[in-house]
Amino acid sequence: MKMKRNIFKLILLTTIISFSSCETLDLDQTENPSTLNQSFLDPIYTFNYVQLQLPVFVNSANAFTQRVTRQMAMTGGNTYDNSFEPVNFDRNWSQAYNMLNAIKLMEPRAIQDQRYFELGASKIIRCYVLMTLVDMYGDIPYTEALLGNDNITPKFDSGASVYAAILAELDQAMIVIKNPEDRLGDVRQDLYYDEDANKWVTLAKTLKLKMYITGRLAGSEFGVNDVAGAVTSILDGGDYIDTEAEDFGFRYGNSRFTPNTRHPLYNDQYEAGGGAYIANYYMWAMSSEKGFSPVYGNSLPSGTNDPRLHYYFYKQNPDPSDFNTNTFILPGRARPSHYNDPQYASEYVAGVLTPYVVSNWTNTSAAVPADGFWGRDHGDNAGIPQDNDKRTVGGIYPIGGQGFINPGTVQTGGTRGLLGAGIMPMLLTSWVHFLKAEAILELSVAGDARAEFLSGINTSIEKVTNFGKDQESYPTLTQNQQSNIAANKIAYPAFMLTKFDAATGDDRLEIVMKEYYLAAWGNGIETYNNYRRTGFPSNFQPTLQQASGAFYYRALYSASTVNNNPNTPANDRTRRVFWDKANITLH
Amino acid sequence: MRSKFKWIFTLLLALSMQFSFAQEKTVSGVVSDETGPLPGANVVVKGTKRGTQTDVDGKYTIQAKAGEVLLFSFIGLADASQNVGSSNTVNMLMKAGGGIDLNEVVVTSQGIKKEKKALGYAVATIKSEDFASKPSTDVGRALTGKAPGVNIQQTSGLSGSGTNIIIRGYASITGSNQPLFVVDGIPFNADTNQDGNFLEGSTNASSRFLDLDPNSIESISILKGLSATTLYGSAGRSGVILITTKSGNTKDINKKMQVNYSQSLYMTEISDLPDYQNRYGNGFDNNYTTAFSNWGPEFGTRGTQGIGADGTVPHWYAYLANDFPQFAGKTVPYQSHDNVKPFFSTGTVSTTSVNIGGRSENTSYNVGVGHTRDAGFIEHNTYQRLNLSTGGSTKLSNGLTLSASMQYVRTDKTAPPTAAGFGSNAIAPSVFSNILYTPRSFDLFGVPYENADHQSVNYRLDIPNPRWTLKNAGDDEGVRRFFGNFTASYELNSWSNVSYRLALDNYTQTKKYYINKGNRQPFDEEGYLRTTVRENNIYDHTLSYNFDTKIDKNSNWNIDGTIGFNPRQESQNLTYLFSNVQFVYGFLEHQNFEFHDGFSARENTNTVGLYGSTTIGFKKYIFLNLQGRNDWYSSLQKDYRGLFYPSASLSFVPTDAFESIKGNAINYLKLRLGYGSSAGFPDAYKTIIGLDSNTKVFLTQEGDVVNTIAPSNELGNANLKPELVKEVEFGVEGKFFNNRIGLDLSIYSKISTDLIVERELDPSTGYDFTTDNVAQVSNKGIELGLNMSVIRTKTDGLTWDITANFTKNKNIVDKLGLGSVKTLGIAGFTNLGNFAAEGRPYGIIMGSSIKRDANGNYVVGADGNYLVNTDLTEIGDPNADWRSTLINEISYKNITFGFQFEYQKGGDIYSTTAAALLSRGLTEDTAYDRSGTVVLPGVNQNGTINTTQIGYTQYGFNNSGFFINEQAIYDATNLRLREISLSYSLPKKFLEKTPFGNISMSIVGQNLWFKAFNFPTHLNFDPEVMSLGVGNGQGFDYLTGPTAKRYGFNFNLTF
Repeated sequence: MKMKRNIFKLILLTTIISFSSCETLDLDQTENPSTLNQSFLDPIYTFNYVQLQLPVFVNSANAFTQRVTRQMAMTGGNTYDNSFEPVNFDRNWSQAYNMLNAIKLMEPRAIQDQRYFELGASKIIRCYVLMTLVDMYGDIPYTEALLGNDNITPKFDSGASVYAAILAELDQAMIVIKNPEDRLGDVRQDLYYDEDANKWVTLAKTLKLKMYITGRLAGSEFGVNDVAGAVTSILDGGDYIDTEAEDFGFRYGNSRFTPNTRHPLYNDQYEAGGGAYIANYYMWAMSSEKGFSPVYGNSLPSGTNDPRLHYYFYKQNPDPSDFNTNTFILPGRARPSHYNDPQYASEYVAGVLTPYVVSNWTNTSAAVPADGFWGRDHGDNAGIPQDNDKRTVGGIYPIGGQGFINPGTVQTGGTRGLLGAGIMPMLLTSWVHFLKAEAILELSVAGDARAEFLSGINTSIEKVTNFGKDQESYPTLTQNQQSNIAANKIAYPAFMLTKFDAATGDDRLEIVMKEYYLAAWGNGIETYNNYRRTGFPSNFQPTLQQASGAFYYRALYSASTVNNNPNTPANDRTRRVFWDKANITLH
Repeated sequence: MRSKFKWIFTLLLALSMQFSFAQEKTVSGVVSDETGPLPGANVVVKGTKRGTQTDVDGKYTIQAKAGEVLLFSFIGLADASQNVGSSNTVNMLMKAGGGIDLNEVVVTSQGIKKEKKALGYAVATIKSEDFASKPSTDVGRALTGKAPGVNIQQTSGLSGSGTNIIIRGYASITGSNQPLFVVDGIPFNADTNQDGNFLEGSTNASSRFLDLDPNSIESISILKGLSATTLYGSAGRSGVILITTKSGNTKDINKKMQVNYSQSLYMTEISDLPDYQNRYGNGFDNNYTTAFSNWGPEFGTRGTQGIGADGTVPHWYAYLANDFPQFAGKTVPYQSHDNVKPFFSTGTVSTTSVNIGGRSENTSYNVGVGHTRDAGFIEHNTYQRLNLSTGGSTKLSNGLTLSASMQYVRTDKTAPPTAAGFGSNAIAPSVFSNILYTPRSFDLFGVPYENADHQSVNYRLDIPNPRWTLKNAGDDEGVRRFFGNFTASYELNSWSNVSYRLALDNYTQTKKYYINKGNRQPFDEEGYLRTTVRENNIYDHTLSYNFDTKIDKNSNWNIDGTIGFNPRQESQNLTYLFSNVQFVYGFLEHQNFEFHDGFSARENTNTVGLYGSTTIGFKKYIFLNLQGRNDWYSSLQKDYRGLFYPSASLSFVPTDAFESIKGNAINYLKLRLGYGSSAGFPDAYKTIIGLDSNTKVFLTQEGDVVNTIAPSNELGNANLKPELVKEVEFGVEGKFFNNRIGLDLSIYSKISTDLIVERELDPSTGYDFTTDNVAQVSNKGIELGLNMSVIRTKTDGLTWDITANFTKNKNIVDKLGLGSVKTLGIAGFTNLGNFAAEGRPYGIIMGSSIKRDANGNYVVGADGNYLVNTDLTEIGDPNADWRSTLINEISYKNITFGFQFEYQKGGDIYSTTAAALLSRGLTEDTAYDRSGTVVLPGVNQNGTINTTQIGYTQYGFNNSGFFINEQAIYDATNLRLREISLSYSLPKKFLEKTPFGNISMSIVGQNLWFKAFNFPTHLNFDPEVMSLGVGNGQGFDYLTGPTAKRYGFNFNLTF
């Protein structure tokens, strides 16, 4: 009996021990077995992350800047009060700082592994991101940023001080990337400059040039007392973006799924549902504003035209006048009277008023014109008519879409055009020409503004008209189309030169900035900076509703910083960034 | 010495420790009521597994010992008890009437059974009649309104949808506030596993207590306060729902085999539809267009406003000439159609349950089978469950008792996708988002919903046809679950034992979310399939030493208690695979899709607990209970890993202490006071955050694959420590006026400190969010339960009992601890959701509001509409002021009629159902004459009174919540008839000659009527929905699914 009892006790004990063995008693399990340990932060792959996040960041900046500068239609609200909220900027703000944090955390390992190329290039990207943040938001966290637990409420540094720091960082980055101890020859992926450190240095210098000119009215505030001198020294050095191979842009792929590598606007407009509207003003500025003849479908009209027109836009429907009966924004809504105000009218052709509803409906008569591009007016937040397959969408450049083919729907699940293999332009040769022209006109830097203006237009046209030609799905242009484009490559710059020559004073700068505006299609950051710095283009289409409230002199701080960091300055959209000294009233 | 031990043993049994021993005698007797002997009455020796049933002559024999208590019970009669004395005969005359058994034994934490009067805290006990054989196949939902302090809310009326249970308010801000389920001693995973977020409609995911068959449950105890739950450790800090199944409960089974059979059949329908108006049709600004809205011309209009001279409009599919050449150029009359109601149908819910139990000498057993088939109120919404359970217990002669219970569950659910909707097409497939706002003039059921290629067609292609979605998309779920426990206990001596229990709960849940190709929406158009497999495991070991003894010679003092060691491991593996671009339409396997991607994750947390509890009783009228537990948690850094939390409670029964006060007026009185505390641990792996690594993030035009590694946007917090919750509660229980009135009152105050919060960070820190101990939340409340025997006649058996429950809880965020940051998102969007704000009620709704001037006037913009203030403003408080339940039960002979009303006072809800129907001009509420203009009350921006006229379309479209969140907020005060039932049980006499012990049947209806007083009348909206799903979000309706009503009958048989 006693023995049996002991056996039972023994069995009980062994059962307990076997079941509740170490497995359930192990208390040191603080690391997630399904994520990589910090020691795996390999600079090669972190650089990949940084390279891929950059266009994502620019795209979220575009969501705001392209809309306030009438590249894309602002449809989120009918006034500036209700078009954007802080929460709309959450992604942009977090994408930027997540990227900056990755660059910061990769540095020690990069130095240890002698990955100077990745580190240097990342640092140059960091500078681009920082300057964009200052340009958009003004004051931003810099000295106390990226400290994690050590400071969860970083203070905001003045935009000017950050600008000054970026200049120093760019100098340092140029040294890092050229560090002779770099482990050259190892596998690395450079999605921008094909492992050419010199081109990154060229970019860094051009970024400095861009900053000088952007901040030209407040040079002393960021330590550049002689802006003209600073610009001149870069120009004299000759190492700035002046060939297409040096263009700073991200090249998208054409894979639709797993992964989706296409241009974001292609993703938006070429799947289903219609996608975002292009601003009527932008399409008008490319065509009707200059008095060019109407265009039916996607064919090219005879006579002078902007040769980029059908590379930029693609009409799904040839004739917007045939569907006004089935939409509810047109009938019974008269053209607002302030749209007839001459201050918004064409800079080039007298009597051509700002468009309404379609890109070429420029007069006050009731009938919708047959030809033109179907976009949206500034601040048109009306309900969405059944126009998915009627809206004008982006064309070949820069989104890798459709061009020249006869009208037809692109709501086909991403099967049209260059399949989204576009680019995200960030700093192009043509823009540099316009920047130079501005420096010559405004800073009295030595040079020929007229020649830079012409080069700007020509380089832009060349880039656009040759874009994507190597791709399989590139459309076959008819003989007619080819000769038309060839003719317009001559006629259009000539037309613009006559306008340039005829203009004087500020008008000359406006003509330059307007062409810069048209060459910047796909990038709102440049046009937003330019508009605030120079006030041009001055004839932007006003909001449909006349009382639109004050313009966005800066972007709103994201809800994530407003809500979580008491140091965030008040969200006052009329407070100008430090370099916005011209004090121009914008609309 | 020897005899003293025996004597202690007797008392030990009286206190219901599960021991038994030899040396019993045979007791026999006759059980009868006023009408004569009772066959089939239960006779049980209290606190033992010994029990029997009377024979046809009302006779019984049972083994019992002097000093033991015999319990007699019979349906419809009051339970009775009698001590076994020296005599071997105990006869019992049983009396009619229910009422609470004063010596009620309840199951408390760690399965310890105690006399209710010894408890210093509130325990709600729910009898099986209240949840078995009910229309709700979800045991959680069946408890709605039954216990004060327990707030149970469904996420929607879909079959198999989740259920949110909150006991005594939300104590944690971003952690879980759902109670712990313990089934037969097994910590039971009751998670609601959602794939994706609420926007995709993951909120219809089932809560895993759905795997329990209510018919197989013997009883449920709800431990509400922390002084009751301390022994469960941190897992029990939001309350514990203790479930004893029939297979886990082997004490009350009679010697002979007993079979319980029940069958029920219920119908389920949508609780109500809006009253649609039939005056105006599709269009905008009084013009006919195929807009989303219903602001078109009046029906009967001819030759104007877009209507043809013959009163027709172009056929809705005329624009789809390629798909439907037959409609090209055709017209249709402009008239209203019944286009929403046919979308809904009547589902059937049938449940069959068989339970067999019995015992021989020292061994008892129980076997059960349950099957439920529940079809919801729309097509493609079904829920099926099979439960197989078994349990048994045997006591060996050497003092070792072995018992086990196990259950296998198989559940399968199908449901349509229910992404959140805002009154226009949802961002993900959704049925409800797109059906309710169908324009009146569109004949949804008179035209095809797909073309020859199975692509969705609708009056406009940017809204997928809801009929197409219903046929082609789904969010299905299947669970295979095994749970069980194995217990061995060994008597060390007559007053103590040691026991070991291994409990395990293992399930695999597979989910399948899919849409066939052809809905014509971006990306979904090509078809999508996502499958997830979750394996969830709990291993729980408990080694305990239990004792119960007198400590003085006069037996005035008694001490009992337990010391336990309780390691628990919880682990989860998740595998996720998704595919897109479907090859062959309708074939839903991954190999039929072109692209695949996936990931997997695993998680393991160990919690080791050491606990002790002791109750010291004096003369059985004053009891002091002391408890404490220390938990160590594996996912915190060493210094912060452990936390000790004590609790103490006192129970005093004046009616036993001072016999003089006991009389007809006061039959029983008990006062209790309790203090409890508990810990809350963070989710796994919050102190160290790993890297984000991703493969094939990009593919260059040259075909190079780009992989990335980057730091996470989540910041680890090595200093994270457990949160601490403390609670004080005071209570009174009493029976008055010949037991006619029963009272159970609790007042509590609960404070949670160092609350673990997932806080957003300013991304400029480098990170978007982290986990931190910062906030403090308090809950103060009153729970009142009242029973009244209004009529209790002896002659004809007419009784009328009323039970009233009242709950008021004040849930305040005392401190946020985020410096100058005054709000913290809890659930929903960052610009519209539930927030914690210092000094404000928990989970206030914040969003955009109408702009006000300095004097508080609404500001109207130049277009005549209100301006929006996009700064986050408090626009509602989702917490109800109070809730109450009124249950009536009227019995006459064998017929019982019952009904339960529930009333919720206050509590706001943001409703896109309301916003969509009103903004789109669909319900009778918008059938006003739309020809004129309206001027909104308010001031212009320059301060003058607004005089700008706007059309009715503008008025309705812009001011019903589409643009300003504040305008979609409604007070959710509501009254509902939760349940109404009529049941009949066959008189015993009729059954004497049959093999049946009991036959009963009932007709039950649930949620047959409700009224939300402050919603526009014709919406008929039931605010009892939670579009943010199970969790801490409340007060949001995003068109994710209306509620249901259910009615039907059930039939029970025992033989």
